[in-house]
Amino acid sequence: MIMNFSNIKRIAYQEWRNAFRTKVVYISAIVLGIALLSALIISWQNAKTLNNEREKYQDLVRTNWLEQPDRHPHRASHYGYLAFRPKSALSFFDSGVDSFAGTSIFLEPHRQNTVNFSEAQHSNGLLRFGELNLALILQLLVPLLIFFLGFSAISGERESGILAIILSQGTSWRELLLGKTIGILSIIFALLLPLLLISFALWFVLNDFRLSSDSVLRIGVLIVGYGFYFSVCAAIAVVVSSFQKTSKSSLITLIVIWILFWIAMPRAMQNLGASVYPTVSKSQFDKLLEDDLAKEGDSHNAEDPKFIELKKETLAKYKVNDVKDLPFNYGGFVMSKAEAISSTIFRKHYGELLEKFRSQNRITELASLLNPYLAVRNFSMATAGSDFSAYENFQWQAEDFRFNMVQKLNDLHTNEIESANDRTQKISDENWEEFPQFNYREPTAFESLSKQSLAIFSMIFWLFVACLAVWFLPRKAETRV
Amino acid sequence: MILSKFLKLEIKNFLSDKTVIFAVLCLLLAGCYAMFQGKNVIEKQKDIIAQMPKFQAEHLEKQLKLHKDDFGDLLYYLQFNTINQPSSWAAFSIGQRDVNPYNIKVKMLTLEGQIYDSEMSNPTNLLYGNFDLAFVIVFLLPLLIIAFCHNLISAEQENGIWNLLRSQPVSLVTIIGWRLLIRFVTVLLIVFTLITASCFYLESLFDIRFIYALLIAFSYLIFWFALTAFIISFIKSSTFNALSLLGVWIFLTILAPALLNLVISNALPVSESFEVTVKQREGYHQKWDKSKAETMLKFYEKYPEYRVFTIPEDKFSWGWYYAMQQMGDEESATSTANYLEKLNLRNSWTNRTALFFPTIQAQLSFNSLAKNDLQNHLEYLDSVRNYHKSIREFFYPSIFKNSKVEEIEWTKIPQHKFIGERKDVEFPTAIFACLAFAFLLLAVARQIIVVNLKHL
Repeated sequence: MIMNFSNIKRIAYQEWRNAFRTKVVYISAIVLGIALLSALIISWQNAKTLNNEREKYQDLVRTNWLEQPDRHPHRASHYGYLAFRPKSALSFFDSGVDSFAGTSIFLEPHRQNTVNFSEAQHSNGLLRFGELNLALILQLLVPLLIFFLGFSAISGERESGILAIILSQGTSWRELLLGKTIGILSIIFALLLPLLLISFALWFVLNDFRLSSDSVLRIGVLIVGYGFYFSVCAAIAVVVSSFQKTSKSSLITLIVIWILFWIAMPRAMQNLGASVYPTVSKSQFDKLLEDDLAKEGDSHNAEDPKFIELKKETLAKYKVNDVKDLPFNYGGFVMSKAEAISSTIFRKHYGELLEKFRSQNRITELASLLNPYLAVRNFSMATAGSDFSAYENFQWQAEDFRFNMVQKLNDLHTNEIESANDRTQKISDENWEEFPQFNYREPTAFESLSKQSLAIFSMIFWLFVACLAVWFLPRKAETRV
Repeated sequence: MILSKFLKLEIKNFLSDKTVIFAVLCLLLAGCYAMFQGKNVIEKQKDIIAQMPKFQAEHLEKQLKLHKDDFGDLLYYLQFNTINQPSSWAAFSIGQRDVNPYNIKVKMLTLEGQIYDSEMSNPTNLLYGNFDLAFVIVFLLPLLIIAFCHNLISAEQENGIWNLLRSQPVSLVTIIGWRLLIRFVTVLLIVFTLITASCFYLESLFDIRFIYALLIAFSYLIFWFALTAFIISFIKSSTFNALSLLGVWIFLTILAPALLNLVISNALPVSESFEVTVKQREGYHQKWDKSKAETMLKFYEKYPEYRVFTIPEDKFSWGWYYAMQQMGDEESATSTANYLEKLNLRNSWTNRTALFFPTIQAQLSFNSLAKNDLQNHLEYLDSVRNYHKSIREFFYPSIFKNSKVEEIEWTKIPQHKFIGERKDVEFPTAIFACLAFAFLLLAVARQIIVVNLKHL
């Protein structure tokens, strides 16, 4: 079948003109504009306040570290370090799991702590209603606006009897559907694109005109992704409208779809994931570590068989009879071995736990093949760098930092502290600046997205389904009119 | 006579409507899933809590074996268990229970460095929230009301039956009133069924909380009926009614709480949490670089009875060590107080503003009824603080006397007690605000409809 593009253009233009004839479009433009800009300003300010606090304390921790007096290396090790998790540059756009994940972690030897103080813990349940940012408005409310613009696209023509006339005047059913979809989309893009550009420009200004190429890339990907999403929503509206006898029932159907897929299903799916893949609690996790550590031997116990063996080996290697005769401090050496063991055990178990969390999330990710809202939600927080994998990334960076710091101190202990009267010795405070600062490295846009291939796939999948639906949707028999 | 005939017909019409049956079934299904989910979350917590006595006994046994020669060293490793037991209504409204830890373990060390350790939870689960009964009532039931009532007047108008009805001797306002009442009773029955079923399935105790849960739910639903009556009293098309009601719903359940949350967290940032963490760490660690006498002097201010024991200046002693740990708490005490005050401030501001938003009000009331709110967590933290104190005070004499491990009566260690299951649940006063809004809306709606009907 040959497509007549002028027909499509004409129908799209009619849709556009009709929409702009009514007050509704202007009102929604104003409401959307106010909502988007106020969400932007408030959430940006919130992100800035939080980041400033975290930066301030990260600096304070550094200063305190450098100001340490001469100390025994193991003392400095227990003094430890605090790492703070900064919010991602685009978290103002989509804060993802940010507010539900901890923000500070204490890094010390022998053990790995939890990341504490999430924003959610500091709120009395208000946060559970949802977090106001641009993503919320674009993901949840704009589809409703699209449904509202599109519910009568076909059913309205059917009700007024124009449908038969249009179709008999040389416009094909396919051209009609395409034209209507494009018409609705052009209205949405005409409303949103300027608003989004203004929002990002405003953000640029608020950010003191600083902009990294990574952020630009992320914003670009976001705009394309949301373009896909709105196209899918427009297609849904037109398809539903084409099935319905009256515009009233078309609108009700679309609202029911919105309630089921946008409100009820997300919670239900994620809850399902959590119950299908139960995870250990903190106490159970601690016990797992404790049991595994016991198998590996207790470094603090001189009679532990594992460590007696290590001692024998070391003594044999250096051909001495007593640890006191070793050319280094044996206490520090053992500490370093034990740290390596406990860190490996932690990494194994924590890796498994995070894998379980990922499995829980995968249910929702898979459900995004059934629900475009879930698809865009996963895609959006991944692109904004505020998804689960970003949090996971922070935790591993903190653990790496902890391990390197502790092992460096253990090395100092091994090499700079005499075995005799170990506890009373100290190393010079000049050593402290040899230690790096904790600088969280944000994953690049590419890294973020590569972890969410399913989300990206489902975005493309949905666009594909939408195109197929509009292209191949059979015309409903008009006998009922 | 005519009225009863009319009523019978109305009820028959309403209940034979396929969409009504479909919507009610959907809602009951959602309710069942919510109960299942709620039970799941709470059962998991209960299972873990049930394992705790065994864990604790094994832990004690193992550590006693490992550190049998050094009492001070043993205490460094020993963990003491505290539990925030879910109340029997916990599964009804999970609230903040999944966000806050319910099983904090403390050692004899600086408390402020341990008490904020979080539970290991998947932040994505927390982000999406729980599909519990409170969610069904607060979020989904209003949508059912909107579905039932948006075409109450306009449908007739659109179908042309209006004029027929006008010729009847029963006043139109009365008819509309009865119609609303039929739908209202249906929704109330659903809610009553769900809450009663939850009492059986979730094993919630049938006590005053059952009445309160019903009161909160009823007043919340009355508000939504009043709002619906208000909107439909303008006698616009049912599309207009549906859209404006949905708009209000979005505002009340999504936008207003989200906006309020941002405003409160912007106005009251909780940076004290970091301050506590930094201060307790400095407070303790700096003591290693100071004279022992200085630390002990500060310790004796609180515990003068230990002055009699000598602390050697030139060598390590456990009395000094645990005194240093205590100094971490003493020196961060102001920050801790500020931190808790900030949280309380946030809490009270949330509660105050919630009065204007029935959705937030209902959710917070349910959370509080289920003892899964911030208030409950703060009370739990308080009990952990007291417990830590009693543990310290239990062991101090033995530490200062340099007792041997076998001299301790391990069976007499203080146990943590925190009763989440409180019978003295406060009356949910917030419902009055809900009802006040409802009566206001109803009164206005009645006036408007009378005027509008005249012009019809």
